[in-house]
Formats: sequence, structure tokens, C-alpha cells
Amino acid sequence: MRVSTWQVCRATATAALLETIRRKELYVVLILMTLMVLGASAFRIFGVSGLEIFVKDVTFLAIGALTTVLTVLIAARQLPDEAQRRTIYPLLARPITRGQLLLGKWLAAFLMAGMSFLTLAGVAYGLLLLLGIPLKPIFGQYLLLKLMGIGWLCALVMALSVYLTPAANITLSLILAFGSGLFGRLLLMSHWEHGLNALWLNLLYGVLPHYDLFDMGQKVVYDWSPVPWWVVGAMGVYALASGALYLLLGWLRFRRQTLG
Amino acid sequence: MLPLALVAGIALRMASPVLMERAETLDALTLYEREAMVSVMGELRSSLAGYLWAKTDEYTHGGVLLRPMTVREKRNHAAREASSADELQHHEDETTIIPERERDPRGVWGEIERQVKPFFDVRHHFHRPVREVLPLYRFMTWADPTFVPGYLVGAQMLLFDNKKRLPQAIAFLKEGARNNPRSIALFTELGRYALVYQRDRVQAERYFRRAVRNGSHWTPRNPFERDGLLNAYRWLAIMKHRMGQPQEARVWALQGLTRFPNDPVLQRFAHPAPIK
Repeated sequence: MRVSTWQVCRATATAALLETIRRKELYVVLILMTLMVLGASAFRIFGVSGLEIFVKDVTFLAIGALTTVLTVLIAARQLPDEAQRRTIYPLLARPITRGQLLLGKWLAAFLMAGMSFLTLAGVAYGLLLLLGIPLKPIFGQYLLLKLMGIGWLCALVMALSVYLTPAANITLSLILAFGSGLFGRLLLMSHWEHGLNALWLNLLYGVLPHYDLFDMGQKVVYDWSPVPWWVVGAMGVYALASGALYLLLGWLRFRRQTLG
Repeated sequence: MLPLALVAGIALRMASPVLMERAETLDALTLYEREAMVSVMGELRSSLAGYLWAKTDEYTHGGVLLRPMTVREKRNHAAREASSADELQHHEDETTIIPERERDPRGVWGEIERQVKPFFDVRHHFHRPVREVLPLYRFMTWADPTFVPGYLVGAQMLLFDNKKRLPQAIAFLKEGARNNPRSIALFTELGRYALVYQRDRVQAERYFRRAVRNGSHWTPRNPFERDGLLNAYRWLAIMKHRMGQPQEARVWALQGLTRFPNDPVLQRFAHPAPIK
């Protein structure tokens, strides 16, 4: 008797929520971020008023960087931890497929990282309000887009986790996440300065990760107006298509992988 | 937290007198090589000031990032050249990091990037209100009192925001001069303010002479200080010329030419064209 994918996902999601509370990373990150925001705002106490943009800049820099690191760490350990603790064997002894397990683990990672991000953003929002720095409606779009990015990043890291060792996976994932903006710039420069064909540029650009496009933090900092909804929709399509492809590639390897 | 703050406070206190010497020696390396404590605290302070300095440009443009144009872009006029509509900032051969639609080969990807990241047409653009960046200059000079460019540009910004802020701008420059008594640029700027805004020639000459004296034994490589020295000679020559003392103007110009032999302004005052 096979268990439905929905049941697997629900079970792993519940376990993930409990894990989020049990694990200490989120608390550490929360304390770090609070210190950073309060540290930035402390300068106002010393008489440098009007540093609202600076405080917002530091806040969104902290949210972006901490969320990315946390997401990579959470997603990278999902499968290897199960294998290392040997809990993957009783899991796979149940009537669930490896594909279902991978999808369930992705959902668990997404929920843990997403919840951590929302907690971070909520605390930051509250701190900024306390400091008398309100945020514009674009903040809502920022949250939505970032959640899509977290889902996409979880898929990428989980796919890499079945090909690489945990340490290599974390390193490569962080490079891909933080360097994604740079890769695009390099391609554009190659096109303008060294005549890289536009077709090749678009092909390579399509293959390269675009995690940076999920971050509208800078627009929130400078109080820009919300972006057209088609942009959010297009990024949603990209996150779904690209994320599904990463999970598919991960599954292709994982389904035949010898564990242990 | 309290013991940590106490240790940091003591470290800052110990490092401050030595840090102030940067303008005396104008050689950060000798400063940092001397004491480990100073090295750590000094780097922290100057890094913060440098970070804020870089950020001011981003802040005035609402997060839109600019970059220098490449040689090819300049030659072919391929990229849109940034220009200021409000004269707040001068742009030379700069363009945006995110390309404009016409030269972006990425199609929808480029459009998405222009939407999710701060972007505008940089031709003839306006800047965000100066009052939003003013605290940064206060903050960066507070973090590193030897950061001379912070005082120079901060004073300019104060005045740009409101002409009635001349006393504050001068007070800011004087604070910089107090913290950097061997700076050349700060005294030249104080002289310029005295001459242009306060019409006080006597005071202006005092400041220009001080700037020249500060630069008498060395030629700075730092562009701010180098320009400060050159401008001090220029202002002295111009001032004397306008006061009807061409001989004095010539003396200052000749003196300046020993340091900056190719400067056309000084050459004009040193070798005035004969009246036909």
C-alpha cells in the first residue's frame, strides 16, 4: 500500500516545524539581526539623526544575507543528516517512494527557511517601526518574492546535496546564491566588450542561477513604488519551472543512489 | 555586553590619539604598522568611513548603482552617460550597472531586473534630497575624524541644501581642520569659503598661506590634498592679481609652478601676456 504524496509532505512538514523550534540556529540569527539593527540605530542616540536609510539598508542587508545562509544550511542537511543518522532506512522502509521523500524534504526545508525568513522580516519590521521608520507597500511584494526565492534556493541546494558532499554543497550553493548577480554582469560585459553572441548570452543567462532577482530589498530601502504584478508572476513561473527542474535532476540521481 | 562595550571604549580611547596622527604623517601604513590595537581599531574606523563614503553615492541616487564607462563605451557612445539635472553631483563618464532597454540583449530578463532593482534613466537625472545624506557625512567623520574628504564634501552638501547653512558648513570644516592640523585641502577650502562666501580677504589669505605651509615639505599623492595644494597657490595668485598686486601674484604663481610645473592657470599669472 502506497502512501499519498500529500501525506508524506504533511508528515515531513510537521517534523520540520518541530525541528525549527528545536534547532537553535533561528534564535542565533534573530539575536544577530536584532543586534545589527539596534547597532545601526544606536548611532542616532549619539546625535546623528536622520540615518533612516542607513538603518534600513543595514536591516535589509542583514535579512538578505542571514536568510540566504540559513536557507542553504537548512536545505543542505535534509538528506545527508537522515543518511548520517541512519534514519533514512526506516523512512524508506515505509511505503513511500524516493521521489516523495525528496519532495517532502524540499517542502520541509522550504517551510523551515520560509518561517525563519518571515520571523526575521517580522522582527525587523517591528524594530524599524519602534525606531519610527515605516516601510512602504512594496515590502509586501518583497516578502512574496523572497519566499519564492527561498523555495527556488531550497530546490537547488537539495538537488546539489545528492551529487556533492555537504561541505562542497554548502560552499557551491553560497557561491551561486551570492554571486548570481555577478555572473550576469560578466556575461553582459563579455557581450559588449568581447562580442559574445546574443544567442549564447541568453542561453548561458538562462542556465545560470538568478537568485539576486528574488531580492527587492534595495527598492524597499529607498521607498520605491510597488513593481507591476506581471514581474512577480514571471518570477513565480521561473521559480516553479527552474525549481522543478532542479528537483527532477536531484531525483534522477537519488532514485538510483546507494545509501550508506 | 557591558564589559564588551567597556573594552571597546577603552580601545577606542587608547587608539584615538595615534589615529589622529594620520593627517600628520598622511601615511596610513606607518600608522597601522606601529601598534596592534591601533591597527585593529584604525581599520575598523576607516573601513566604516570608507563604506559610508561609498554609500553616499548610492543614497543620492535612490539605490541606482553607477559604474565608470569602459574605454569602448566612451569611444562609441554606446551607453547612456549619466548627467546631473540639479548640479548636486558631477558625473563624468559614468553609466548605470543595469543597462537600459535599448542596449540590453537579455529581453525579458533585462526587463525584470530593471523592475526588481532600483533603475532609472541616468541622463539628466535628479538626486534625492541632500538632507538624507547629510547625516552620513556627520557619521563618517565621527567614525573617523581623519577622513578629510568627508569634511570637504559634507560642508559642500550642507551649503547646497541651504545657503543659510554657511556658519554650519564653516564650523564643520573648522572641526576637520582641528582634527587634521596638517591637512592642506581643509585649509584651502576654509580659505575659499572665507573669500567667496564671506568676502574676507585677510582671513582667506591666512588660510591659503597655512595650506601652502602644510604642503611645503611634501607633495601629496592623495588627490584631495594634491588639489588642495594646487588650489591654494592658484587662489593666492588670483587674489593678489585682483587686489592690484601683479608682482605678488607672480611670486605665488612662480612658487606654485615649482610644485606643479604644467598648471596653465599658474603659468598665466607667472608669465602674463604683454599688453599690446
